[in-house]
Amino acid sequence: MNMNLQNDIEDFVSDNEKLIDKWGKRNPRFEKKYEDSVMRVLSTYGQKVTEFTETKGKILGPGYEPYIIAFFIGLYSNKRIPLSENTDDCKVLGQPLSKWGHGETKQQKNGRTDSSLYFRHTYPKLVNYIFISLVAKTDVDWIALDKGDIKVSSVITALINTMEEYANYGFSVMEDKLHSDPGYFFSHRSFLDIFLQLTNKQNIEEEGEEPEDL
Amino acid sequence: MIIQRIEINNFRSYYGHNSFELTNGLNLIIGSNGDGKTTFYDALDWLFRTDDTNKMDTKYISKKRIEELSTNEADDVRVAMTYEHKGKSKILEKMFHFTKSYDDEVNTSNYTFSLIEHDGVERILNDGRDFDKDLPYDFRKFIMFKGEDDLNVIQSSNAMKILVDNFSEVREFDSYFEFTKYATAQAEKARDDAQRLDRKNEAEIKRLNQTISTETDILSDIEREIENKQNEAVNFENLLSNIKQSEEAAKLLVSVNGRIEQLSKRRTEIKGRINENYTINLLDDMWILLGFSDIAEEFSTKVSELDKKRRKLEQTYLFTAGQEKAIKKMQTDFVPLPVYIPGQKIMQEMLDEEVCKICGRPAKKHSEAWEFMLHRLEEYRDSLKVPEEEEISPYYLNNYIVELQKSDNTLNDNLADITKLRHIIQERIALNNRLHNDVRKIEASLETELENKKRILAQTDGLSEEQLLANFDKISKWMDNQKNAENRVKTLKSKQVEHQIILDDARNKLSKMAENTPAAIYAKIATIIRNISDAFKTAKEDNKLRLIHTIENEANLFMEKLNTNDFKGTIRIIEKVNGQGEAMLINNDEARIFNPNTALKTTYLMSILFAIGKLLSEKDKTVFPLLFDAPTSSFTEAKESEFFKEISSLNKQVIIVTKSFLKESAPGEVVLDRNRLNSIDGSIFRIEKKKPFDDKKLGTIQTIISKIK
Repeated sequence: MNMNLQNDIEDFVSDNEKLIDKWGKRNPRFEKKYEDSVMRVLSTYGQKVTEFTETKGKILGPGYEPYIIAFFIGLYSNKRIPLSENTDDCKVLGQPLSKWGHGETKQQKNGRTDSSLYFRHTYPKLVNYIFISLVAKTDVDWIALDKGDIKVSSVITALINTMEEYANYGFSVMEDKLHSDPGYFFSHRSFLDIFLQLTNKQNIEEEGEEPEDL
Repeated sequence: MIIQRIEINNFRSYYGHNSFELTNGLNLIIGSNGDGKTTFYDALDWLFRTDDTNKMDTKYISKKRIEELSTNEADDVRVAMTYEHKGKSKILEKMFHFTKSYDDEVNTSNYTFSLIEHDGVERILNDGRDFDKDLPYDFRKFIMFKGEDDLNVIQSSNAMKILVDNFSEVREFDSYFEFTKYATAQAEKARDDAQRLDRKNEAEIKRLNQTISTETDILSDIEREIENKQNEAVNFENLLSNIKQSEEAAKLLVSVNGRIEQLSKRRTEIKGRINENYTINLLDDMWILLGFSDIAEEFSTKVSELDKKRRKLEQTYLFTAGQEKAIKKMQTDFVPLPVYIPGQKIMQEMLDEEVCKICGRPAKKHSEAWEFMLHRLEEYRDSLKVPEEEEISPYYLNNYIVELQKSDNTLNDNLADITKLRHIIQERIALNNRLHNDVRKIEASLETELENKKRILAQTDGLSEEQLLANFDKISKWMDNQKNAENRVKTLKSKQVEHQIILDDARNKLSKMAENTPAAIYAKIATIIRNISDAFKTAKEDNKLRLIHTIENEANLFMEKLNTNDFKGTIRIIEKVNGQGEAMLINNDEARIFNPNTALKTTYLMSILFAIGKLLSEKDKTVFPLLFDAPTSSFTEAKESEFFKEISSLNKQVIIVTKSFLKESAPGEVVLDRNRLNSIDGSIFRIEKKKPFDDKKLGTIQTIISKIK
């Protein structure tokens, strides 16, 4: 609620702001059930900085990282699942989109048994591509927007919805994988393999293939 | 000496009375582990002891017999050997009494050691120690051997001396030595006394005597130092020989360690190059965009269509809006321009030329007509301008599509990189696979090297890695020390020669001066006696060398027989400076063969023993038997058969205790290999544990003897 209000104010006060920047101020939602089954398993989501010992054994850093992965799984599978309509079932990610990939150059302990330290780089540009894909995949009357016939906030909400639905599908895939094999993602190739197979031209052409075939 | 019978009563596993009837030639006593082979050897060893040590001991008593005895019952331990020596039959017998007391204690008593001689019907009882006369104590080390390690008798500290003392005439030279030394001194003194009368040459004689005395001192110093240095060299050589066998291992270890270090380093280096943080790469390097080109295309199409549509709408709007405005303008203008009105260019031309080209009349500058034309031109110009205050309201309030179009341009710029991603990823995977492969290869080599290292360390007689490496350091140091000592000896020897020349020269001169003087006869005698002394010295060395060569030659002959179809090399025996001997095998290029295999080593050492045995027999006019405990454990079956065949043809009594010629017929069931035994000429005994026995109870163990042939 507050979030929407805030966005409205933003619309009002900085009219020349770019669409991507307005969008960047938003925090997408995800279904609460994935918090424990996926987010906390794979990332440091929900951990305080001081919980240092817990960070080892995590494959990913902040909560937006599993979110990005979930989103791209949905995007490349071209499958969406709408979020539960009950707002109590959903949770908002703490970091607004514009902050994604700014995760500082910190060292993170990787989940591999050799527990070697990895140096992380920032990847702020990635959100631009997410934005581009949302524009490509969201049905918006852009002419009406430019004409001022519809509100920017409604367009941004539509974009965010697309994002949430793709991610929601991605989370369901990840949850399934973890359910059948809790160690599935602890192989250093598991995520890469998922994406390599998802983006294999053949797979894309033969749409409708089950994600289990990943 | 021929051993005819050996009797063993109640000696350890030899319970009750046991007897071996032996023949001249080969006697094989075959038994498996624990069957009583070593006990047989130990019984003889005990019997042959003439030094009054180990007389009685309860450890010699058959456990079975002890357990069998009731309180106060007694029996004897007895080992006896009947032999024939120089035509006489003798029995060497050692025994003691043992009694079991009421508290199960066993007491020993009544030790006797006797040598019984039968002279016709007469039986003469002698002290057992007289056996030394028949088989000298010194010789025993040349006839009895417990295992292969025992065979290298030449190496033992006093063996060479025993051989030289017994078999060369050198010992008798020693007394002559003392005499010649004394005689030389006396003769020289007599010469000096006589020369003292020679006043004429007094100064020269004095000088020569001075030289002789100085040079003699110098030479004795040199001799002493040579001896020291030679001992030093031998000491280092002995030290080295103890660790020398680990030198090769140490060298190997050092190089293996080097390789291990290098491989580990390379492994670390390659492992460092493996980058498999694929999940991280998906984000940090945006590999996750690997399938993005389709999305990008979708976006581009959408945005360019939108942009086109946007522009078209705006154009239409502007066009419509512009038309409306023009109409409005035309409506306010009461002099609409005729269609044929000259254009701006023509109008300017007419003004410049001050003529109206429409009506053909001149129009002077600033005339009414000229001014009219100017006004029309300005009016026309104004009509072309869109009045600013009448701006057309924009069609779009926002430029979001333009923003999208701009991002599409950026996207297109980056598209090439995105399409390359899949290739980059595949390259990276391939590289990592290659590196993994390399690591695996390195690890395999590393594994091999570590195995090598283990193997080296396992075969260095319990030396730890640290000790081995320490030895490696010592070896080079000690080798340097040895070499230095040897070099010093060389220098000293050449010095010795130089001083000997000076000394001889002085002596000759002195003798010459004596010529034609009353001292001449003394000088001559002194020279003769000195020459005799030198001759003795040389003869002693020659004698020793001749003995060594005799043993060598004989040994090589035996070697030829014992090792017919195999490589054998040549046996060489040398005397080291400290008087110890060393037997070795030499290749045809005179190079020493350092590590002959155990079978070859056994054969050459046995050949030397046979050679010494032959010497013994020549000296004593009797042949001594040879007694070996398990000497052929390193032989192959074929070699062993051949070896025994040769031994049986030597015409010499040889008693061999062995576990050869046994084969397993069923698990745990050991039987004689009769096929192989058939080819052996000689007496064969089988000793074994009497069955049944309790494998936990020594009191049930009893050796039984059966004569096979």
